[in-house]
Amino acid sequence: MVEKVMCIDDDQITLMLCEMIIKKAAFAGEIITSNNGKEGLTWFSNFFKNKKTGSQELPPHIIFLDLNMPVINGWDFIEDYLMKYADRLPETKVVILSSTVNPEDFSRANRYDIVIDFINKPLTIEELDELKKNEQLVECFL
Amino acid sequence: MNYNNLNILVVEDNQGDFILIQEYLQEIFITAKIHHAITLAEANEIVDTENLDVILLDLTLPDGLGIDTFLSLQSKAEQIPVIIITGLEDSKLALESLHDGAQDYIVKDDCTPTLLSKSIKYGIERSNIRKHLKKSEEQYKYLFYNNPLPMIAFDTESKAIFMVNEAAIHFYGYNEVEFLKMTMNDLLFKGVDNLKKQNIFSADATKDVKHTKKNHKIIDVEIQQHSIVIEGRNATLAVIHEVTERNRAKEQMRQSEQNFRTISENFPNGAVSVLNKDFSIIYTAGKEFHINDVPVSYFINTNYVAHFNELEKQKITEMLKKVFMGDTIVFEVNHEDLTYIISGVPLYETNGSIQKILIASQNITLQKNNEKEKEHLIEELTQINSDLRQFSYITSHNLRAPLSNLLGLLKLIDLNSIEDPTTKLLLENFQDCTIQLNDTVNDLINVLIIKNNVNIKKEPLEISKIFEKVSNSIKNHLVETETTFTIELDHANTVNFNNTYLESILLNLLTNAVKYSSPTRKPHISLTSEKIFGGVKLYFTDNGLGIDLKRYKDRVFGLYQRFHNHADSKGLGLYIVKSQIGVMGGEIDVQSEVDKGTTFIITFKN
Repeated sequence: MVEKVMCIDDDQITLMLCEMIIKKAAFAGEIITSNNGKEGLTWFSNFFKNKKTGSQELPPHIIFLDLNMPVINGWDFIEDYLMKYADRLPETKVVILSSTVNPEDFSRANRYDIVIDFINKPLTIEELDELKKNEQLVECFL
Repeated sequence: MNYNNLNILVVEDNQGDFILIQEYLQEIFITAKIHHAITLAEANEIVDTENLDVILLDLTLPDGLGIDTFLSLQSKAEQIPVIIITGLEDSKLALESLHDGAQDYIVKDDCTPTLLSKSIKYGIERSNIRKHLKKSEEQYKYLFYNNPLPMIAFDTESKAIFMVNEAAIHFYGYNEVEFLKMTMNDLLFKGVDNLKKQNIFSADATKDVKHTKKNHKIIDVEIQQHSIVIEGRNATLAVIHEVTERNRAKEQMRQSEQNFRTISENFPNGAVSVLNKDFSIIYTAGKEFHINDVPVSYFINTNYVAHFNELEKQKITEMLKKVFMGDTIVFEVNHEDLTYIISGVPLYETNGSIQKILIASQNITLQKNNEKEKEHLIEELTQINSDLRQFSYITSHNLRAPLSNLLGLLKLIDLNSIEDPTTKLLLENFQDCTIQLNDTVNDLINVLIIKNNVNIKKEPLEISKIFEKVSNSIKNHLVETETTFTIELDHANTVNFNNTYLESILLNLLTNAVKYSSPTRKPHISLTSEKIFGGVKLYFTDNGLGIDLKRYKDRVFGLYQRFHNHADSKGLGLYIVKSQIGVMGGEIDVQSEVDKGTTFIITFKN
């Protein structure tokens, strides 16, 4: 089990489903959610501010990221995150969770090292069990 | 000629007459040698042994009578002049003998030495002239008959042929007998009209005519005609030269010249020109010159480059120089609003040097404009297509997002915890509907992705291995339905294709074959292949329900086409199969008979 995951999605039902499934699959101990890319980035901004003031809060190990979102979409989030925070959080990886059918999204996901998987919605226990075998996560589930 | 030493034979059976003649002869020709014969037999003997100058002949002899006497002697001594000595009663006969070749006749009662002398002298002279004439006639006949050129003599008036030589016989193929029944008109090719016929025969002129040989071959001949008198008739001697080949060569020249003119003068949307080394125009022709409303002659001897805009002159000059270096060039030139494509080729002299070049210019303004319009259209279409594709991605995404939530939610519902049976049934139906909707949406998205993925990866694949994998994936179903297989892929097993697509194609065909199997037969599937030029053909045959191709031929591979009333049939499978094959550059065809079975023939390109 990983310590903490973050779900970024503008769809409340998706977020609820994710929480329930992740818990059911015993994938993560803690789940935090954001309603879009902007909220996600704000979370990290606050995370580092709090860290300066001595907060012991843990960063998420995995970010489940939707692509189509208002304000700041998934890709914009990755670009921003890579620029501002990725260096300081080498353990944190991204898993895309989307209903997209656009082949360009798949090939674009391949270009980011930080993206370790691409899951088509809905998130299921089977998908998560598969993800546990991912070489970058396998240590967490031994 | 010395007449004194004449060698004379006198054939006379009357002794008295002979003595008289002898006296006369001795008086005139003092030293003449005089032979006497009483009979024709004796005369013949003397003719054989003596070199006679003249014969004096009486027509009534013991062994000969009348004209036959003369003829028999003359046949023996053709060149010797014969003078007939005759009694008054025979004068009519004597006259006749003149006609047959005797030199003269003397009536015995009128005979005087002077008359006899004159008659003999004239006879000898005439005979000499005749001999000479005969010799020259023989010579000309020799020339005629042995001439290597075909020669024909014909009557100038009637055109009747009366002499032909060997060469003519050989040339025309008629034998002499046939020729002598013909006229010159018979030799003429039947297509020659009468007016022309009149002109052909004109004395002492050379004419070109068409003749027909005996074998019906039509030939061109040149006839040289000379008017001559042969055996007393006005004749024309025709010497014939065959000129068929010469005329053919001439005609070929004329035609090739005409072709060249036709081509150059009708050169479409442009002009052809031949240029000298100083770029002056030697020849030009065509349907369109880039300077309008001027005659072709305007360009002759002018500088080619001078007719273009200042802006283009340097480029054209450089290009023309290249052609004189031996290059072939093609380039575009703008002239006012028009665009011309100009091509140039060197014209090599026999010694290999280039003194002239050929330039062709064509107005391609219309094509240029069309091209621009096409480019613009393609740009627009590409944009629209891209917009549509984005639209379809967004639509599918927006459709899938709530659908995936529904699926996620349904998965979490524990149906066993629901106690109200109605709610439970409703939820079960709700679940079925959602799964069905999801399948449909996924199928449609598959179609969308196939259509848009042109650059999908190809690799060498073994049909047998892929088919094994596919049939394993629905193994249980195949066992349940007792499906059997015949697989013969030894002839051609490897194809260059996309792995996922081939799996999908074979799975679609396989599930179709099982799904639409006959209720009275257990499904049997045969898979065979053959190598063809440039690829492989795969035959996928079942023994199922078959498809009524008369009704559905055009729709078999269409979207949402269903040919059997099956609950789980969506009408997508064969459409996807065709799309996947099409994207890979292959083809699929179908043969089927209702209640017998169906064969799908897939052509894979190498």
